[in-house]
Parts: sequence; C-alpha cells; structure tokens
Amino acid sequence: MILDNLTALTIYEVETLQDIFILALKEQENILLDMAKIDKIDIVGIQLLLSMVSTVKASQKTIKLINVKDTVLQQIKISNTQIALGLDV
Amino acid sequence: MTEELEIFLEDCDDQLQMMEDALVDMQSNGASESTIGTIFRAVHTIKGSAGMFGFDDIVTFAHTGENLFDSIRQGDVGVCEEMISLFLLCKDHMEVLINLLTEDKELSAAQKEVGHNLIQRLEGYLPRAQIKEENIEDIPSTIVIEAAKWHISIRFHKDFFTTGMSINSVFKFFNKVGKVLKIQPIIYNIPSIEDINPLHPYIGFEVCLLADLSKSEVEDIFEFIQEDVDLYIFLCDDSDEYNTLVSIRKEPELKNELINAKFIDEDTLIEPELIIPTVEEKEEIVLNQKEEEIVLNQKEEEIVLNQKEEEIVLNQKEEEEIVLNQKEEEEIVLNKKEESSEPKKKAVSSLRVDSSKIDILINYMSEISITNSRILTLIDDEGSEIGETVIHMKQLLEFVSDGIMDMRMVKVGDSFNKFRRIVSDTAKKIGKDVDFVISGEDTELDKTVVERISDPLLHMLRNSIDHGVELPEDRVACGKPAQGRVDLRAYQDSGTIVIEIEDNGKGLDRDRILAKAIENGSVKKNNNLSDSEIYKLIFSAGLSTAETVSAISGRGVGMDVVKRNIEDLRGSVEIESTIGQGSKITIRLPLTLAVIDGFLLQVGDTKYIIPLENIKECIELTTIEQESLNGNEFINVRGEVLPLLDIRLLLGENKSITERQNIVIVYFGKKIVGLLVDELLGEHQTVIKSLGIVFDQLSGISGASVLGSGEIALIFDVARLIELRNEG
Repeated sequence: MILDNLTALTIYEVETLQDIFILALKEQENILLDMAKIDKIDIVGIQLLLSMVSTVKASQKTIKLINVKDTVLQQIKISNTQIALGLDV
Repeated sequence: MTEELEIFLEDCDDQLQMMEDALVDMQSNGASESTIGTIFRAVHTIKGSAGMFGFDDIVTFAHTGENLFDSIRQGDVGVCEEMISLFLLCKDHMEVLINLLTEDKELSAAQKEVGHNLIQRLEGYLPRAQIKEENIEDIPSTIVIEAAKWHISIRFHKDFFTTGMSINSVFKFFNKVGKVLKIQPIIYNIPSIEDINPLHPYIGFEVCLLADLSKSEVEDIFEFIQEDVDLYIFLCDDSDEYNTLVSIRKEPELKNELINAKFIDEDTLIEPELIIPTVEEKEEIVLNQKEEEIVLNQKEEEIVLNQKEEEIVLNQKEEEEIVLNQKEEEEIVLNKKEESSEPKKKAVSSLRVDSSKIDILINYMSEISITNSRILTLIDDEGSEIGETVIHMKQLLEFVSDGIMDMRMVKVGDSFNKFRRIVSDTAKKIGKDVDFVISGEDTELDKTVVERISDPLLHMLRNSIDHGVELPEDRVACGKPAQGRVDLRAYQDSGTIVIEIEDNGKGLDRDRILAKAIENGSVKKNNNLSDSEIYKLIFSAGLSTAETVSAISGRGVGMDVVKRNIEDLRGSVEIESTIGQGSKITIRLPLTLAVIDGFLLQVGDTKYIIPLENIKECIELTTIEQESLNGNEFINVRGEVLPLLDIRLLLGENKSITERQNIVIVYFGKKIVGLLVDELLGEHQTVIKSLGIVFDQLSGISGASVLGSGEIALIFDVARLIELRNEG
C-alpha cells in the first residue's frame, strides 16, 4: 500500500488515513506500507501508526513500514517508538 | 497562532524587557547580585520556553548567554562595560529571533551571521574548559555537576493534540538541559484502528532524565503544557515512588512495562493490589489529583455566595445605601478571599487578557448604556417603579463601565523604562553624559494612550539629548556640572495626565526659531508672538534650528508629527524654556479615550458634550447681560477678564429658539475660556465614538456620542477650542 496522496502524516491527515487503514485492513492480508512520499510526521501520526500496527498484529495479519525517510525516522526515534512500529533501525 | 505560542511571545517580551532594564541599570549602577540574577533568569526562561516549542535557533543562542551569565553568577567571570553592551546586542538579536517567529519567517543569512558573531564574542568571555565541553556534540549542553536522575511519567489530557503542542520538542529539549537516559512509550492504551479517535491522545511516556535540575525546574519545562498533561515526577532512586506511580496510574500493564524497560527491578515493585496506601497517603493522592477541581469548586461556591449576599443586600436597603453596602460587602468578601487563599495569592493575582477583548466589552457596554438611556427617555414617569429600576440599572452600569475602563489602565512606568536604554545609547553615541531620571512610574493611563504616546515621547527625549543637553566640555565651560540631566515625569492633574520632559541643557534659542520660521514663511515678519507661541513653532513641519543634521534628530521632520499625535489623543503640548538653563515640554492627556463623564448642552439645533473634567463653572446670562455683551469677545466675571468663544458663530449654528444663553467656563491646563452656548441639559455618561475619516479635520470636535433619544451629540475638544479662541 502506497500512501499516494499524502506527503505528511500529522494531525491534519490522521482522520483521512484512519479510513484508508480500516479499508486496507479489510481487504489485505499482508500490508506493506510504503512511506516513500511521507516527509513529515508528528506524534498524532505516530500514534495512528501504532494503532494500525497493533490492530494488524492482533488480527493475525502482517504489516511492514518500508522506505521511511530519515526525517520521519528521526521523529519516530525521538519518541522511541521505532521498535513498536517494527522498524529495523 | 496557538494560545500557547501567544503566551510564549508575550512572556518573551516581558523577559527581554526585564533583561534590558537590568542591563541598563548595570550600566549606570554597576553589576549587582540582583541584576545578574534577573538577567540570568530571563535568559534561562526564554531558553526553556523556546525549547518547549522546538525553536532551536533561540535555544542555541540563549544557551551561550545563559552559560556566560552562570559563570558571572558563580564569580568565575567579571562584568565589564563591553560585556554589558554585548549583552544588549544579544537582547536585540533574541528580539529579532522572536519577531521572526511572530512573522513566521526564516532566519536570513545576514541574521545568522550576526548570531554567529555574537555567540563567538560571548564565548570569548567564557572560561576555556566550558567552551571545549560545549563543542562536543550530543552531550548535555548544560554542564551537569550534581546531576539527578528524574523519572517523568507523562499522560496527556484529551485535548492535548489539538493545542498544537509537540511532545517531541519537549523530548528534544530534555537533551539540551540534560541527557535522556530512557524513553519508554506507553502504547497499551491505544485502541484498535477501528475504535481510535485519532485526535485524542492515548499514548503516554515514561522518561528517565539525567539533569542538574531541581524538581520545580523539571516541572517548569512543562510550563506551557502543564494544563494539558498529567505529570508525575520523582527521583529515580526512590523505589517507593515507583509503587506510588503504579498505584495512581491505575494501569495494570504499567508495572511490567517499567520492569521490561529496566526502570526498576521486579523485586522492588509491589503488586499493585498489595499497595495499601495509608489514610494520609490516600488523602494526599486524592488532594493532588483533585486540587484543580477543588480550587474551581471553591471559586464557584464563592461566586454563588457573593451573588446571594448581593441579593440579600439588594432586598434590604434603599438605593444609596445599596451602593455603599455593596462596596463594603465586596471589600469584606475580598478580604475573606485574600485571607483564606493566601498561599494561592500569587497564582490568581493577575490574568492576561487580550486588550481587544476589553475593547469589545467596552463597545457592548456603551451599547447597553445607550439602550438603557433610551428606555429612560421612553418612560414618562421616572418616579414609577420601572423608572426607579432603570435609574438603578444606570448606576450599576456606570460601576461596570468604570470597572471595565479600569482594566484598560496601565502604569506608565513599563513604557517609560523602555526609554532608559535608548537614552543611554543616544547619549553615548554623541558623546554626552546624561542622567536620565524617571518619576511617577505608577501613574496610570489608558493602554491605547500609553501606546500612542510612546513614539512622540521618544522623539522628544532624543531631541532633548541631541539639542538640549550640551557636550560635557561645553557644560563645564558654562559652569555647569559635566553630566546633564533629563527628567521624564508623569502625574495626574485635574482629570488629566501630565507628562513632562525637562532638561537642564542650553534651552531654546527664541530668536533663532523666529528667524527660521520667518525664513521658511510659517510666520510673518511683523508678528506679535509671545515666547510660548514662538517655542511652539518647533512643532511646525520642516522647522529645525539644529546647526547639524545628525542621525538622531535635526531634520525638522517629526516634531509636527509629535504634535499631531498628541492632538489626536485629545491632548495638548506646551513648552517653557530659559536660555542657558534648559527646557520643559509639558504634555497633557485625557485619562481615557473611550468613556467620559460629559456635560450635555445645546447650541442652535445641535447637542454638544463637554468633558466634565474640563468645566470650571456655568453662568446663566440674563437678558440685560446678553444685550450688554453685544458682540464683545470678553466678559467680566467677578472682576476677572474672561475671553469668550461664541459656539454658534464658530460652528455656524442657527439662532436658538430659546431666549436663554449660558456661558460654560472651560479650562485645559492653565488656559481658560468661556463658551457661549444656549441651553444646559446636564451631566451625561458619554461613550466616545469616532466620527470617521470624513470628519477627521473638523477642528474643535473630538468625536460623537449617541444619546438615549437616538440623537447624535458632538463632543468638544476643549484644548483645540481654546487654541481656536486664542488664534482669533
């Protein structure tokens, strides 16, 4: 799943993204979240990702975040949520 | 701009002003423990708050300054004059950085260069070891001498995300004040993707911070979000506190989370259900958690009580007594409040309110007053029950109106103190030694007036220093002390505020001003001007008698603007001067711009209002006196000659339908004039409304007011009327 129309994952996008995630959860068994186009993330976006990751895991499916840009990774690392998000760093 | 950011910017403004005041004080009185402390705290606070918002440019810059002042505080570095000047430049640069935030602009290359140079100059004063340590990246930027390990447990209130605050900025800032040893995100409360409200925070954090900070200093880091977060802070080596944390958080998973993240050993933590707090502990926990609620409830109870007390009083007494008793009751309740809430006094002693909110209140208040007056005119019988109630309502509205107006009043001292540095810089730049003395700082004036008078005052002060006070050698040659003196004082005088700027310089050269005015055509050759009128010519456009044009003043541009600004505020300006001894500029301003006690009268078909504070007395003219007046411009009042101004002639009003004529004697400062009017209609609480730009040039009229009947009454500008009379 490529987040085509989004370049940020912040408080302004989380509501749209929640709908996208719910749909993906229904339709896909193994979710590959391509974050190549995401330049910016905040704690609200991180929390939504954490919710998605734990929901997917609880439903015995898989999710993987790929192509995470350095700027985004930096923000994730500040809150030390990279492990919970399954990022290999 | 978020509310938090606005508070941050306002706070920075205050801190920078405190810093500047202390630095200017240092320049004249030398460094003291108190001034050093003030500057250190100001820089520290700005750095801390900026860190909270992630404003790294400000943090980095303030950090170097803070380090230097910390060294000064410790006695490792001494203060010299160059250092004070450097710190004033640093203050200016911080102001630039903060203004860029307000304007949402990026730092330009030139500004970066300025900042870089200033940091280098600051570092030049720092002890070597400190600079070396500072340059190592990723280490705590404050030198940790006796660092403590603090555990910070953070949960967020429901609206935290929507405040726009960033917790990541707080975490980044942790690394600037110390070193984050551990951050454990608490994610077990985050609901599934179907159930989550993405705008609500469910995440939490457990943090271990190594820093040379006290508990209150750690709490201060959260100053701007303290109302939106739930914090629990304690020293990491206090294992009992971990048990308390597990207990108060009521999160069954927390214990394992703390153990897994190695905050504490398994053995140290007691099973949550086994923790049985003592009665005192329970009370303390409940008290801590509910403290805010209790304070709020108490306030609500007090409000209800006050309302009830007022109601009882209202039912018991007659009107005049009511007003008195209400005041007494208020005082008693206030005293009780002060007694009972002494420890919290500081927290509730002031409240920042956007001044535009007060303006809105004033506007509504004025509309209510007008409507109430309208009701009063619609009631035929003022003695009826409804009539009395409306009159009572009018009195109460006046109290409310006074209260609101009082909110707009600010002490002039804050504004005056800002001039200290400018005076000091100006004097230094042109090689003059000036003792700048401020008095009457506690005098209160309408906020708008204070803001609008600031630039004219600054201009006049610069003129006093540049053209008034002589160079030290010239002063000594005249037998004066080398140091000149400029006084800025404010005081209240008969319903107006007087601001004086007085210097003991060379005084105004009457002949030179007159010659210059004749030369540029503002005055005819054969004039009969008094000294005071000649001095006032310096307010004419393009008239400068300065021999040299400096960067500070001397171009003759500005003094006309100064006079216009003062007149726009319904004020007046006078000059006294003695050659060789100095000059004094006296500015008179009305206390407020929005609501005045006025006196309503009629001339021809129009109603007019005179500010009550400008009225000396009213005299009714008998028919014989009217006839004897016969176009005279003066009248004899108890042996004194009083100049008269016939308003009907001045404003082209129709002849009055009544036979009566009155003289209202008005004064402004030392000048006095009798206004010839038709009917006197009595006192009137006047809400001043602007006449708009169309009538901007209407001389002698400062605004208008809507009467209860819906009619418009024009408000006289007494200062201008007196001038018009004197100009003939």
